[in-house]
Amino acid sequence: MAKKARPGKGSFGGARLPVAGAYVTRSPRRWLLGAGFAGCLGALAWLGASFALGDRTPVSPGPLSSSHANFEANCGACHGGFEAPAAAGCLACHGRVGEGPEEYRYAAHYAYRRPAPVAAGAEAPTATPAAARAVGRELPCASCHAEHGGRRAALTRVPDARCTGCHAFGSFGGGHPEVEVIRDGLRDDPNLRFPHRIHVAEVTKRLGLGNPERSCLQCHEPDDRGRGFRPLDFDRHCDACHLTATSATPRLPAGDPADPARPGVLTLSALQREWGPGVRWALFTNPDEVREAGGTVAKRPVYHEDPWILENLRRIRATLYGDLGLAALLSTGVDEGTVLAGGDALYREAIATLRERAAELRSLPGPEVQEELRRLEELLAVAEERVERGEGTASTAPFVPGSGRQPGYAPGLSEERVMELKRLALDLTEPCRQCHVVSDAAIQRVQKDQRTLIRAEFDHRAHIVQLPSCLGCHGAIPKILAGEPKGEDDPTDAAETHNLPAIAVCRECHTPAGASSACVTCHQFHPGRSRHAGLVVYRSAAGD
Amino acid sequence: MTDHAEPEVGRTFLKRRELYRDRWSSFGERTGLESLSEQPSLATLRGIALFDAYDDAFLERIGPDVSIGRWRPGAVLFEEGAYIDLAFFVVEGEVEVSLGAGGAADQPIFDLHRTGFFEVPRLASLARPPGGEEGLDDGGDTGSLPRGTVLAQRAAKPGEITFLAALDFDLPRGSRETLGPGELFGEIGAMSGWPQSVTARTASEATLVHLRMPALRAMRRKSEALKERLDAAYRRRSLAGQLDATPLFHGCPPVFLAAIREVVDLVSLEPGEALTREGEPVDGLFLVRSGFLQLTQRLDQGEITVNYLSKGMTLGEVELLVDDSRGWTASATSVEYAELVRLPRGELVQMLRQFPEVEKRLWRSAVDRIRETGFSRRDLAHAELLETAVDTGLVQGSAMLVIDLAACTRCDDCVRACERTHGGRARFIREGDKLANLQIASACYHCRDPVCLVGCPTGAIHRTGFGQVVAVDETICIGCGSCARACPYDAIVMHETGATWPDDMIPEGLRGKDRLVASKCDLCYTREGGPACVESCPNGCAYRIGSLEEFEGLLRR
Amino acid sequence: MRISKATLAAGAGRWAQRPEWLLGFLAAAALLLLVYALNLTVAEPRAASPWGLTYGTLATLLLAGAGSLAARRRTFRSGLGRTQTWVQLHVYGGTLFALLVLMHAGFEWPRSGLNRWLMGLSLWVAASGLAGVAVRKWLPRVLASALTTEVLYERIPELAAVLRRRAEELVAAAPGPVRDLYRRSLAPLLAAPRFRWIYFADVTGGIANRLRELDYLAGRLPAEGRGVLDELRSVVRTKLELDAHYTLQRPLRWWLYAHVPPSLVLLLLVAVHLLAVWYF
Repeated sequence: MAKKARPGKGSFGGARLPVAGAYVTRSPRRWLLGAGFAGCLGALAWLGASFALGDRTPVSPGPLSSSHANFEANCGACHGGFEAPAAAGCLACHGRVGEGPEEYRYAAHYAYRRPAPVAAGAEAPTATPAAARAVGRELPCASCHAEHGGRRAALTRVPDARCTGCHAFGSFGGGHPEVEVIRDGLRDDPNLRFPHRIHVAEVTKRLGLGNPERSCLQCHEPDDRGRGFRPLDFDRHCDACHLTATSATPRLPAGDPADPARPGVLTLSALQREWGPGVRWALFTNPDEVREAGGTVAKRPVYHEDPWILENLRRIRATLYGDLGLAALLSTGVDEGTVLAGGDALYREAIATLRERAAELRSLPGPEVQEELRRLEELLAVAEERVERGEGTASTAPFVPGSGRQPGYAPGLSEERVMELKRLALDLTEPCRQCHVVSDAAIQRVQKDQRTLIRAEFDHRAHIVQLPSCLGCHGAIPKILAGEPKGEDDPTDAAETHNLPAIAVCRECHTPAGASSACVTCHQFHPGRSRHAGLVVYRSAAGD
Repeated sequence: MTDHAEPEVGRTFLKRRELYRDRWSSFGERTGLESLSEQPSLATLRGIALFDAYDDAFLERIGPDVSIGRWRPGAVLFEEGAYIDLAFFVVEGEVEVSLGAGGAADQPIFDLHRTGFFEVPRLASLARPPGGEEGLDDGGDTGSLPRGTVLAQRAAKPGEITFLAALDFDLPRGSRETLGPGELFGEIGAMSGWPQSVTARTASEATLVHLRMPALRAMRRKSEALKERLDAAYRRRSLAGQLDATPLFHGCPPVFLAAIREVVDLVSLEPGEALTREGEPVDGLFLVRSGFLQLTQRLDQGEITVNYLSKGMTLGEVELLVDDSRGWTASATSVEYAELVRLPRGELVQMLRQFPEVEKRLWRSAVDRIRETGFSRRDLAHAELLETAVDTGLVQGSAMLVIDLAACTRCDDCVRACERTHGGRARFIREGDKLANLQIASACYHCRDPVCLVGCPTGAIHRTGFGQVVAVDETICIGCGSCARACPYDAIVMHETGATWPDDMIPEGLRGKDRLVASKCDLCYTREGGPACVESCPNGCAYRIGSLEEFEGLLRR
Repeated sequence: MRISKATLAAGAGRWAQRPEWLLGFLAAAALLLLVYALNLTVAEPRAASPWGLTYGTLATLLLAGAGSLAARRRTFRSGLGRTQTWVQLHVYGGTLFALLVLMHAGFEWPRSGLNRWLMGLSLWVAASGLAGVAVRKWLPRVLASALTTEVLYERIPELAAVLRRRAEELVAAAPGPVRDLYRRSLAPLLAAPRFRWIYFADVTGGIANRLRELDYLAGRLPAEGRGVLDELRSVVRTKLELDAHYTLQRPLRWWLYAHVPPSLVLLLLVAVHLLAVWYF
C-alpha cells in the first residue's frame, strides 16, 4: 500500500484549503456590549426625560385608583423618602369624612394589636382613650388597601389572602368554621317565654293564613332598610291576645307605707298620698282597678307595663336590695355560664340606654331621685371604665357585669323576710310571668335587639330576592310545627332557639363561582356605626 | 536539561553570541568548540577510517551532512535527555560518557484523567518539581538499577505514556565510560529520535566527526560493515535494556535477554517500505524500536488498516503461536523511518520452550492483536479511523486538541483564551482536518517523538523537563523556522514580533531583518487550570486527547 | 415501577450535557412552584409582601450570577473553573430567574412603565437565551454531521475566492461542454459566498441539488475529461459547503444580539427598580 501524503503545509480539509495567516479572527461579539450600552443609554434617557418632565409614572408600580388619581403625579403626598407610606397620610382626609376617624381606627381588630406596655407596679392609664394608644402600633392602611392597582381597583375589596395570612381558614368554601352559635350549640337569652308551636298555629288559624310561612311576618316585620327586623313590640304583636280585661293579679297582702318592713303592696290611695316623682300616674288611675278587701289588694285588669305592678315591684326590690337592683339590670343578657368578654359594643349600648334613662330622671326634682341618679351614675362610670380599659378582653379577669356587685340583700333582713319579699314579688308579677322572666324581684328585660351573628354582617333584603322563603333557611320552625308537642319546657321550641341555618346553607350559594365568598363580604374590619359588627370575639370564661 | 532552559533577561544577546556559531555548534557546551570545518574536503575525509569503505561520489553527496570539529577538554557534547540529530565519531582524543546518579527521570507527559466537573487535564509534572530527585515514584535507590529496568517499570504501568531513552549505553547510574578513537556514539538517539540517555563530554582535546542523520542513514545502507558495526554497538550497548523496556520482555530473566541479544537482527525501514506481506512466510518476531508501522489486511480487491504498531510493540506473535501455515496475517508497512529488531523464528521458538513465562506473555499480546484485528474487520469505521490516525499522525499525539464540532458553537473562545494566555499571540487556529464530528485543531499534537526538537540551532525549542512538554524559549529563538518546517502537522508557526534584529546580532545575516519567533502550544504547562483552551470552552467541546481510544470515544457514529 | 437515580440521569442525559444539572434545575423549579403554591394558600401573591420580596431578591441574585458569565468569558484567568460550568449556571440560573420574576409579579402583567419593561425584558432575555440554547444545540449538529469541511466564518469570503481561482484554472484546460457549464451556471455559483435558506432545512440535499448538472455531464463525457470534472466537482462541492457554513454559522452568532444587549438594559433597569423600591 502506498504511503499517503501528509496534509500539505498549511492546508486543511479535503479540498486543501489554505490555513489562515493570522491565528485570531476578530471577535464576532465586538458590537454586543456596544449595542447593550446604547440600549442602556436609551433607557436612561427615557427615565431622565420622564423625570425632567415631572412624570414619575415610569417608576410607579401602577396607576392609582380613580379616587386618588389626583395624587398621581405627586408621589410626596403619600411617600416620604425611604420609608413606607404612613396611615397619617390617609387619615388626613379619611379622618374628616364619613363617620369620623373613630371608624378608621383598628382598635376593633385584635390580631393587629399588641398589649400596651405597662411599667411594673404602675397601673395602666385608664383615662387615655384606646384610640390614642393604638395609633402607631397599627399596620399602615396600605397593608390592606394596596394602591397602584389600576384606576378601577376597589381599595375596599381586600383580598381574602390578606386575612388568611393570619386566620388560617383557607377559604369560605373550605376551612371556614361553623357559625359559632351552631357549632357550640349556644342558646339565645331573650328572657321571654315563647313557644313557636302554639303561636304559629294560633296566628295561622285566627288570620286564616293558608301557609304557616306567612305567619312569620306577622311578628317578624322587616325594618325600614330591610336588612333585619323591627323589635318585637307588645302593642303590635302581643296585645291582641294577651292581657285581656279579665287578667288580674292574685290577692296580695296590703302593705303600710309607714312600715316598709312589713311585706305587702301599696294601695292606689296610699300611692296617691305619696305624691312624688314616678307615682303621679296614680292620680290618673281608675281607683276601681285596685281593689282592697280584708287587708288584701288585687289589680284588675292588668296592663302591659302596668305602673302599679312596676312601682310595687320596685319598692319590693328596694327593700330587698337597697340599690334598686341596678346590678341585676346590668347583667341582663348575660348568661350565667357565658362571659361576654370584649363585648364592648353590647355594654356600650346598655350603658347608653341607662344614661338616657338617667337623663330623663334628671329633670325630676326630689332628693330621692337625685340620690338614685347619683348611684346610677357611679355604677355606669365603673362599667364604662372597665369596658374602656378592655379588662374584659385582654385581662385574665374577664369583665362580668354584676360580678363586682353581687346582689346583696339590704342589711337587717332576716332570711324569712327575704323569702317573704321574694314570694310577694312573684305573686305580684303572676300575670307578667306568663311571658316574662322574673328573677331577683325584677322583670328581666326582653333582649329584643340581640344579634346572633356577632362577627359578620347579614342583610336579609339581599337574600330575599334570591330566596323568597323564610323557612328555606330557617328550617327549625317547620320541624317544630310538624313534631309532637313536648310540653311547655320543650327546649327546641323556646324563644332561646336560634333557629339559624348551618354555614353549609350559605355555602350553597356563596361559592367562588357564585355569590361572593370573599372575607369582606360578611366581615367588616372597621364598620360604621350604622352597621352592627365590630369584630368582637366571644370567649369562654375558662378559655384563653 | 540544557542550561539555557531558563533564559536570563538582558543577557540574551550576549548569551546567543556565545552560544551561536552555526547550526553545527548547537549541541553541548558551545564554548567547548574550538574550531569547526563544514563540508570537509575529500582529502580530509579520506584520512578518517570511518569513510574508507565509500567511493568519492558518495562522499561528495553526503558532504553537507558531515563536519569535523575540534573540541576542548571538558566540552559537553550532549546531555542526558537531549534530542540530537547527530552521531559522533572519535578521530582523536577521548570522550567520556556518564550517567548522573540522580539525573532527571522520565515522567509521563501528563495524566489524561478527566473526572469531575472542574478537573481538567492536569500536567503530572506540576505535581512534582521538574527534574527533581523524586521524579521516580518507585523508590530512591533506582540509581543502582540499569536504566532500562527503571524505564520498563514505568512502562509496565497501564495508561501512562513513557518516554524511552535512546539507551546508547547500558550504564548503571553514577558510572562512566571512556570512548577512544574509532568509536561512534550518539547514533541511536539520532536514528530513533529518542532523547539521549547519557551525558557525553570530551575527556581530552578531541577531534570529532559529526554526522547528521541523512549521512548516517546513507552510510549505513551503503556499507554492510558499518551496519554490522552499528548493530553490534546497539546490541552491546542498549538492546537488553530496550528489550526489558518493552511490555513483552519486561522482567524476563537476564539469561533470556542475553541469549536473545545474540540472535537478533536489526532492521531499518524507509518510509513506505514494506516489512511483511500478508500470506508470505513468517520469519520471526519483530519489535519496533522507533517509528510507526501500519498493519493492513486484504479485503477483496483492496486493503483495510487493522492496526498500527508503535514503539515497543511486537509483530508476529500471532503467527508464531497460533498458526503460521498461512504466513503473515497482515502486511506491515512503515509509515516513516522505522527501526526494528527481528528475533529469528527458530531461535525464538527454542527459547520459548525454556522460558514458558515469556510464551504466556506472547499469548496475551497475540490475543489482543487478534481481538483488535477482528474488531477492525467487523467495524470498518474503526478500520478507517485507524488508517486515518496512522496517515494523519493521530497516533503520534499525546495531547491533541480535538473539538467536538457537534457541540461547538464556533465562538472562538478557545483561540481567544490561548491568545490571552500567551501574551496576545494565539498558538493555534480553529482550522484543521475534520473526522466525522471531530476537528483536529492546528494545535501542537505533543508528539511522542517530537521531530521539531531536532535541528534547532539554538535550542530555543526544548523540553520543559525530561519527558515533558515541548516549548519554545522566545528569548533565544532566532526565527530560523527549522522547527516549523519540521513539524508535520503545521502546528508551529513563525510569528512576526514587529521588531527587527539589532545590528550586533550574530549571525550577521539576520541583522536588520524582521524578528520572527516560533510559537507553538505549550499546553499552558505553567497554568494552574491546565490548557486555557479546554478550560475556557463554554460548551465543553474542546478536549486534549492522548490516545486513539479517547478519540474514538468522542466520535459520533 | 421504581425509578432509580441512574434511570433519571440517563433520561436527563438525552436532553442535557450535564444531566445532574438538569435534574437539579427541575428540582429547584418544582421547589419554587411548591413554595409559590404554599404562598397562595397563606397569603396573596404581592411583590411587596415578604414572599414577593424574597422572590425578587432571589431573582436579582440569580440575574447577577447569570450575568457574571459575560465577565467570565472576557477573562481567561485560571482558577475560575471551566467556562462550561459557568454556562450551565447561566442557562439554568437564567431560567430560574424568569420563573422567580413571574412569581415576584404574581404571574400578572405589571401595570406601569418601568415594571412592564422589566417584565418584558426579563421574559425576552430568558426566551432569547433558551432560543440560543436550542440554536446552539441544533446548528452545530447539522454542521458536524452534514459537512466534510470545517471553516472559520470570517474566512469564508477569502476561501471562496481561492476556490473560484482554482475552478477557473481547471476550466481553462477543460473540454468545451465543461467550459460552457462553468460559464453558464458554475461561475455565478462560485462568485461569492451565498446565504441560502435551504441549508436550514436540508444541507445534504441542498448541496446535492446543485451538483446534479455536473453529475449529469460527467456521465456524458469521455474518460479523459472526467478527471478535470471530478476536480471541478470537488471544488464546487467545497464552495457549497462554505455556503452552508456561511448560512448556518450566522444565526449561531447573531442570536447573541437578541440576547446580550437587552440583558444589559435589563441589568440597568433592575438597578433603577431596586433604587425606586428602596426609595418609595
